[in-house]
Amino acid sequence: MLRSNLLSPLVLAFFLGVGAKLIRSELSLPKDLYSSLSLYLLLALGIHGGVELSERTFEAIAVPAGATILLGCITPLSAYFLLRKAGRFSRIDSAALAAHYGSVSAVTYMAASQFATRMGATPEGYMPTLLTLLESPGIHIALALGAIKASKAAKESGAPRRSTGEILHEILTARSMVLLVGGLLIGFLMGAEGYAPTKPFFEGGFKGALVLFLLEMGLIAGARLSDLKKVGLRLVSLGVAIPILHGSLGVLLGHYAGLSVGGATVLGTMAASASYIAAPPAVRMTLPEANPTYYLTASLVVTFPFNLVVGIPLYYKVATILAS
Amino acid sequence: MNPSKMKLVTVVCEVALTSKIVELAKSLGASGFTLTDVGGEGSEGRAFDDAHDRKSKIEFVCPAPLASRAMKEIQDRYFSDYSVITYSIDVEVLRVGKFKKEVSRV
Repeated sequence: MLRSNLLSPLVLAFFLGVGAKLIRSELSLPKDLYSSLSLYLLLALGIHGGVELSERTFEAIAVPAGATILLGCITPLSAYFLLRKAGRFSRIDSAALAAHYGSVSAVTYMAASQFATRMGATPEGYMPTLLTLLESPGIHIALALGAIKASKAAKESGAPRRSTGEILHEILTARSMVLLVGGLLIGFLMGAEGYAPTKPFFEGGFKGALVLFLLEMGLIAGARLSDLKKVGLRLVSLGVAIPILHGSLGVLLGHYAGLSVGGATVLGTMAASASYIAAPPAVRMTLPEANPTYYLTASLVVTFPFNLVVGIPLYYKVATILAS
Repeated sequence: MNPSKMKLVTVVCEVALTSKIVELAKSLGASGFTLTDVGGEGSEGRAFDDAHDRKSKIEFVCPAPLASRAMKEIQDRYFSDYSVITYSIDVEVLRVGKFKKEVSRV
């Protein structure tokens, strides 16, 4: 299973990106292409999820949705305490890192969804709804954890602080959130019949676009490989341990919430993933004292590749064991 | 042609700070600004705060007192915690009215 995952186009494209940086190739994706790919992927994901949602009853998703929100509340706290106690990181750095581990990486979600489908365990169609539910609570809880210390520091420096409303507005109006939630609404409103004419565009190109996106992720991670030395072994170890813990918890909660093997695998992966789009700007503006090298390296160079290569098959294995 | 002397203020900052700098410049009386997405290296090496290693370059033309005040505000508010540089140069502009706006207090 691990070998088949290693040879999947997504993983191979990621390593092509890392390799290109290692050999100091000039290869890079134009910024506009990256933006266009993420727009396409997030909107396609949202619309498809919305169409699936239109065919479900509220009761069918209420329990998995509740389990997802519960996960969103637990993961920032568990990450924070692990980072404080096992990692001995400062309160502000722990809160900054916890905000990343409490939120979700949409691209990891997509990779998990593709993996589960390839294994014959297609996840529930409403999983994108759960993705949007998990996006913001973790960031807020973790930022609140760092806020006491940060506001004390702010008083001393006299720097202006941002209100909770301001942070909430930023997260909810972020490009990724608008595309996902907007896509869900469009899909929900137009239903399967309305979706049919656009389906070839949104589904036909999805996997290929994701491969290109993973190439860019590889380039980003490759460019930051040297930062591993700066963050130290403790953070690298926690960057692997936290996803295993959160992933297993996510699979467990997903299983008891009635999700299929594929659904539990994807929920576990969502919990295990660390955001690298929504969390960094929110953390940067709210906890500017936190070291960005820690959270960007942990999220992009440690946890993302770990989940992509080892984590997703592992959560799938846990889900199959639980189901049997 | 009758050029007037003004200042061109340039701020290169991490992307997350962009809207804050723009708001500050406008609230102090800058009548407009130019925003460019840039890359590069500074005293601490390449940009490390954004996943894509990008920075924002914000430029605005304004009278000298406003330029000094904007740079002082940027220094006080953001130098300690953020990756940001700012500098100004003398420029000569035509249609000077384009660069003057009622100055408000922040």
